[in-house]
Amino acid sequence: MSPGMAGSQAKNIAVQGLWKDNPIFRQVLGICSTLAVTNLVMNTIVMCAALVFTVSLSSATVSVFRTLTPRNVRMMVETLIIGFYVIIVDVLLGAYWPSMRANLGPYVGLILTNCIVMGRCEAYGATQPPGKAFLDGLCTSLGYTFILLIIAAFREILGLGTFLGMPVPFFSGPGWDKWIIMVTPPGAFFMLAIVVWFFRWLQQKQEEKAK
Amino acid sequence: MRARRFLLKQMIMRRVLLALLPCLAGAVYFFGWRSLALVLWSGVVGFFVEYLFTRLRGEPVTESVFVTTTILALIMPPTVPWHVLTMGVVFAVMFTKEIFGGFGRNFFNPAMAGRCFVYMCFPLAMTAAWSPAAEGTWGALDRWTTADGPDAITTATPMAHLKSGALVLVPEGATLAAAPFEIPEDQIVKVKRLSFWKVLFCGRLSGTMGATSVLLILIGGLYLFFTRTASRTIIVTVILTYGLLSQILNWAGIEPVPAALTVLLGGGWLFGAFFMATDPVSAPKTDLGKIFYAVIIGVCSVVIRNFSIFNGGLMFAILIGNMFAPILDHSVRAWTSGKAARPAKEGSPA
Amino acid sequence: MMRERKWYPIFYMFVVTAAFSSIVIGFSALTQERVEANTQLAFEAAVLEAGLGHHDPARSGPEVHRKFVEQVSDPNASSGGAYILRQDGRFIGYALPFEGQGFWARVKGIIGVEPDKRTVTGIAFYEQSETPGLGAEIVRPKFREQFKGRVLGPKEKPIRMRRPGSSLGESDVYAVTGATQTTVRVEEMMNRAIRDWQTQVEAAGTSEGGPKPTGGAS
Repeated sequence: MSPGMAGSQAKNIAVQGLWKDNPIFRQVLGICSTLAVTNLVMNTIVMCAALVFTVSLSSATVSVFRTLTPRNVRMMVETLIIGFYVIIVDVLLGAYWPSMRANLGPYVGLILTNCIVMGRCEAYGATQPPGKAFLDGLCTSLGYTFILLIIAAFREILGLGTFLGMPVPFFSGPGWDKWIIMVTPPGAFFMLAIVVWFFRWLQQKQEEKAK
Repeated sequence: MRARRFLLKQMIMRRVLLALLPCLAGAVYFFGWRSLALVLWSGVVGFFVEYLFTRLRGEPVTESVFVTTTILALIMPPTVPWHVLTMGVVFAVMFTKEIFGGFGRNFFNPAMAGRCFVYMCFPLAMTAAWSPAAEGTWGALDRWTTADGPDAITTATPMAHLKSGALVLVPEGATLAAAPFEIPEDQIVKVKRLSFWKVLFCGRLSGTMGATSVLLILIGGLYLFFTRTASRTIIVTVILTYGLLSQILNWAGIEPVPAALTVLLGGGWLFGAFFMATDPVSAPKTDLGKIFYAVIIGVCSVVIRNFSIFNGGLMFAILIGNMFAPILDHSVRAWTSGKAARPAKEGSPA
Repeated sequence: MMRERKWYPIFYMFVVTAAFSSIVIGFSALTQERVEANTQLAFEAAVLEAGLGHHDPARSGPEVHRKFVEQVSDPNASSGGAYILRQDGRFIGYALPFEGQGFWARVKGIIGVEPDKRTVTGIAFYEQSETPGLGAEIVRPKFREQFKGRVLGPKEKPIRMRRPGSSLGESDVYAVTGATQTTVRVEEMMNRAIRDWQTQVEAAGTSEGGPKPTGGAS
């Protein structure tokens, strides 16, 4: 394989994960964590970092073992590997950042059940070489990350008047009536709907232009 | 080129608007001209939002949007800030109606969903600032608003005081004939039951803009009832369920359920029963479905009003009822067609 | 070929599980001590903060621990379950732990009271998972600083949380806006702990013939 071809392949993987097959607005996966952790930008960043770590490494690990793993226990092994990384993240947070672990509550553990992780392992890691699987996991979870950050930024600014805990001019002042619903899970539903709507509309326009 | 029709005429919606006029007049009379301005403004916003979407679909704006915005404005507190009302209207028209495909395709009552949204979003603006109803023959007709100055704002309506126990209704020997505008904290005020009912009937007390007066609601509501614009089944069943269940719980001595008349007359409950539960789009279409739907609303309002932290139980009850409407219709149709299919001699259902 | 054997999947699962589990177990054992220290430290910081009535974010973990060992002694019979705070050997107040069910999970905190058993020095929370931005606002200084200097009221409700905007008495604080459930539950658990504590110190005080509880109204 020539380096040029590898480059174009990598680019292709990135475009798929970040944009064309974006896990949030195209596949609509992993929505539970979207709703739960996006009311503060800081929580979202940590949650997304944990997901990026888990998805890319577990997909790569599944790929490393793909020739050894018998087909009939494939899913069990995948779950085991994902669980392994999730526990590592959880233990790390508990030891070095206990306040953040308290903030995220059970959601770090629930990365295990996030459909994106299993989805990438099954769809990509189980059949492709480790390098590509890692890249695919990375890009897909970054696609998840950037959408979540958009949602979280809107929710924190509209609902609390702050960004990363710092007061935002105007929104933290008396002239802004804080939208309390944005802090609660229903607010996430509305924000998610608007974001999915917007990006699908954008994609549609792009496709029409390409024709 | 032929000019496209801009506004779709809907006779039913015009009748509902006509029926809302007494309440609108009451809003102006009790709380000042600001009420009228709020209603008109919400109409403008609602029209604009609906126009944005109907233009895409090449359809005209429906007159039903004005029913939504007028009802939504009338069930706001008279002190509602402009941005809160605007948000409510935008949400109601855009998120509960237009994204589902416009008139006739929404499954929640837009006015209720809009109110629910702002109620959750701005709880302080929606529940913590109430202005008094104007006194005197001419009411607030000479004023922009009755909420002038900090003294003219209270944090709770008489109905909320009644729920929290600060206001107690007694049959005889009360110190006061009418509910006072403000009750100091930790005090319990006793009011004569009959005179409290009278005040509720006339509507000269603090509460939502257009739904304090039972008399005015009844004028409009009975017009809808007798012209069959609103479903009689729903109105009668909702009122019966709510009244009976409240009265039974009250007799059983369960706190804090008040007697049926108090809850039926108070807090704009009848307004909801006549104008909102009967929304032809979000209510079931089958007769049996309507009865079940109304029972759900009645029971849920009793439970939510008395045993939750919220005062306005009807709002959530109607939304819950809306949620069940499609499956009620579906089950009723399945059941009747199943019944008709079994005895083969009977004709097939419509 | 080994891969075609019937026992291979079982053997494979066994090896893989053992390998990954041992790594995880080892890893968590490595950090175990640190996790426990964190929990203990959060508690100690909360006791100091509530009892001394001021927040000192710059203090590092070891410093907090040293200060705790120096100034705080464990509950004894006369303190009614509250930790006892001393400064330079002088008795400066009680730190009373309280806990209960919050909106999502358990809330644990400390309320500090002066030696007069009536004036509050401060409160702090060391475990909570309330909604960020709503119920979790109870951990913010804005909410907690209100407690400093409040006086415990009558026994039924020593501390009352009032709706923002209402007028406050000497034992009232403003509740957190938009978090009715958290407020009601925290108020309840706090008052329950204070009531129990008051009963216990009174009993201890009278039986030992010590000073009568001040502010006899309660």
